[in-house]
Amino acid sequence: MKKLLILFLLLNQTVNAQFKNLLSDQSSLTDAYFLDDCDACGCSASGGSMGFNSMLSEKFIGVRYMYQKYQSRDGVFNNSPWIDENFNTVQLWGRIPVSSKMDVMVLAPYHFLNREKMTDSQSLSGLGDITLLTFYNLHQTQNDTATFHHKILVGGGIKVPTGVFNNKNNGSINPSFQLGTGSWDYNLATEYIVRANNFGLNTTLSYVFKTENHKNYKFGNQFNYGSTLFYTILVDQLQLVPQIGVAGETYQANQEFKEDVPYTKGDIFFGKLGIEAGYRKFSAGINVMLPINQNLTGGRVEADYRLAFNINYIL
Amino acid sequence: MKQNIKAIALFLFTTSFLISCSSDDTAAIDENTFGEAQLYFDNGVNGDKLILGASYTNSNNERLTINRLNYIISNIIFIKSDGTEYVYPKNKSYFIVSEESGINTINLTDIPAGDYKQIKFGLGVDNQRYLEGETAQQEFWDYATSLDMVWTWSTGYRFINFEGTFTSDSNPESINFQVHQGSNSATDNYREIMLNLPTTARVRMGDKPSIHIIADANVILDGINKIKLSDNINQAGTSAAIMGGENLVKIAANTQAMFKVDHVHNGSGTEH
Repeated sequence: MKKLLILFLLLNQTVNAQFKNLLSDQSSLTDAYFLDDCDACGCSASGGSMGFNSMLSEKFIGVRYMYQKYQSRDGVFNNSPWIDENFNTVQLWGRIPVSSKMDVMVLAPYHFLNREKMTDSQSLSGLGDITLLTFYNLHQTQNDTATFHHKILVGGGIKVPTGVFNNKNNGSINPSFQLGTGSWDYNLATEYIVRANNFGLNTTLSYVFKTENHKNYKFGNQFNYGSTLFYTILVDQLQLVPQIGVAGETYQANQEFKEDVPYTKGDIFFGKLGIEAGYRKFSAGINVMLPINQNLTGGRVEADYRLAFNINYIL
Repeated sequence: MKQNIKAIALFLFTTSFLISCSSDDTAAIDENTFGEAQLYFDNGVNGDKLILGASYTNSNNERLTINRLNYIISNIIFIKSDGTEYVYPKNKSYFIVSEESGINTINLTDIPAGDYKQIKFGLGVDNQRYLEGETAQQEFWDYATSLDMVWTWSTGYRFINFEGTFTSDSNPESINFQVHQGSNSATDNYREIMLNLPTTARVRMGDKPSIHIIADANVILDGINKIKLSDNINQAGTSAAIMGGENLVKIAANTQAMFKVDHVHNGSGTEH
């Protein structure tokens, strides 16, 4: 009954969550959720499949640094100059288990965005949109002797518009050069992890429902998917987890006053590589994502790469 | 444990109200209020940005270096989705776009608040206006003179002044070209151009939509009608000029497809 109630609430809520779970051993390092607060804030072109590798315990507090490099065409012509856009994010995050099957997460990003236009350079910095998430463990293999261990989570939450949205930034170029979407957004997410011996495969799907902000601008809803193969190596108390995977994002068109904005929908598909290390109360990770195929904002924005580091302290 | 579940349920329940509260219905438009609008003409050539002095080859296999692109935009009309029109006052509705002078924007004021889905404008000066005589339009005539957009009063306005140099199979050495569009006693080459807006231009008091229009200079000679500059070289072989005759009618037809709206920027900003 309780399960049903919660599931109902989660589904009913058009909930929110970007996450990954790469590790869940019986060792000190257990579940790891990889969340992306990045949907459309400072990067609608970047979205929720970042899947940054970091190892977390059931209780943690950490700092994550994310760097995203884009090129955006400054103008409407084929020969309009491409300008570099640099999106830096420092994020405080923490996760509190509220029961054996449920966790609540808080993500608080601070963005530093800059771009050099032909005529001037622009930079934005400030608090981004804060995300609150809840995950529920729907199913987990309990038999330790089983060859395959399965774990299924469903989650959801809300993104609060704490980041500034300024529609003057919405010119011909990248509409996502923003600290926040200015909107209350909601996500639904599912995650499936299967393990055998030291191998694991983590697959996530999520959908982000975005709403219209006070400037009557609505970023397009976003579908994210990703799958990561990882391998766990134990060296004394040090745990190393190399990983390789793919991830993708699909964006619907942004809307202004309920009309589709031209050149705002798109999609992108990444390959990713990373490694994480865990030692006692600390874990650290590094992760890089390189686009394999992309068609963002009608070809007017291109993602170059994404890079992330994180350090977490296990409470 | 139970407390926590309750707390989360409460949290989610509460947030659902935030969702329902965040939607905001479009307020009724007060048609007795007025706003502004801007037309921004971004001059290009065949998909590229027009850069005066740079060369490109058109589909007639002629290599053009454009040094001047000026044109007259007039008689602007805003059209709503139900077809109703707002005609900008005719005596204020003559403008010149000039790449060399950096004049790309037309600012319009006192437009009735509304949701406009199309715009219509003239390329050139209509006969009705021209026939009102010189004194009736002295100010615009003088302005047009300053931007090289007139012949004499008796021959009238240049609707388009498109100049540069070119090379072709018949003239490997580059020579000047001049394309001067206009009306004459034989033909009225003033044309109206209707453009759909990809999104609504929302004119409101305090709001100033900017309509970002791309003008393709290539289309003047290389549109549905192909006009070769090399067919218009003078006898001395020193330059090519198109200033009259059937070519102007062909250019008038080409320019029907010279403009398109790339996007509309709503709000109070002046971004393009």
